[in-house]
Amino acid sequence: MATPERDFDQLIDSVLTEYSRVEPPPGAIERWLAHTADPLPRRRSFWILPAAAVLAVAIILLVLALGLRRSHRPQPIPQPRLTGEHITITMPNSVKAQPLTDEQKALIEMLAKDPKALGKLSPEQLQKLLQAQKEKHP
Amino acid sequence: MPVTEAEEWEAGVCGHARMLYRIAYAVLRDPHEAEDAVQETLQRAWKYRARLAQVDNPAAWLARIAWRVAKSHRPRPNPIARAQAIEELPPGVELRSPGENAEQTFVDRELRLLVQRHIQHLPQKLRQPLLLSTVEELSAREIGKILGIPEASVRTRCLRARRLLRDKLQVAMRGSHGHA
Repeated sequence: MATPERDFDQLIDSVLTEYSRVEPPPGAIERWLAHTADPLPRRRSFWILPAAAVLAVAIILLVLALGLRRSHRPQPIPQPRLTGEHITITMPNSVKAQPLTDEQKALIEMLAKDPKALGKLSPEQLQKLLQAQKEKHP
Repeated sequence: MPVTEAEEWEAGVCGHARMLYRIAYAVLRDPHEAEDAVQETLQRAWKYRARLAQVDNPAAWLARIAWRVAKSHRPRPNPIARAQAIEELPPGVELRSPGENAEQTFVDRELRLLVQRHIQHLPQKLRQPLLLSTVEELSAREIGKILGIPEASVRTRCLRARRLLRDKLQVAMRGSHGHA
């Protein structure tokens, strides 16, 4: 037999009334008053210490990562810069312009004439050829 | 004879001790935890007793502290302990069944336990106002201030909670008769 809805309301009311009739245990009020002025209990937040440790480690790792990144950064390639109306190419100090030697000039001349033939020569043959070129054009 | 601050405090607190305990018990459902929560509530209230002079409603002020302490005092959920806590009747409550036989008493007790279990399983926003509404000393307005919701919402949520409990009980009863 199903309980009617009104009975459910009465049942709910009855249970809720139990909640409202709850009484403190005997002697509780005296204990509360006796300890009211005691210092508040210190809540142990067990999560704070591990969380702080994780945060510290994360910061240290971040600092190290940033430091490594800076040390591995490649040096910028020096670029020629334009100055004034007259275009002047300023070379960085590491590169010092040197005039071509006679051998270098002879080599360039031979390359211009027959680059393929030059590639087939051995170092000794090339040296002899350069010497002959030098004698030809003192 | 001049009254000391402590005596004045005691006189004020004693009148609200039961209310504070009922609030704590409504949340914690354990007499020992509730007693600890009330102790902490009173210690906090003593610490900030200077604010009491500026408060319109000292009972509501204490109730709010008790609620917050009980909420933060919540022990870790333990299904076994929780089941046992639901099975036990709260202190100060007698299972009255005048003129009824043992079978009827048993049925009544089981029904009450069923209702208690369903109350504990209500959604939090419905359960909280419903439980606080059982504390006679608190009005809907004061409950609203404790929970941070309008007074009208307190009444609406209590009605919704009761409707939900009724529906669950109907389903439970239909199920038990179906298996009979």
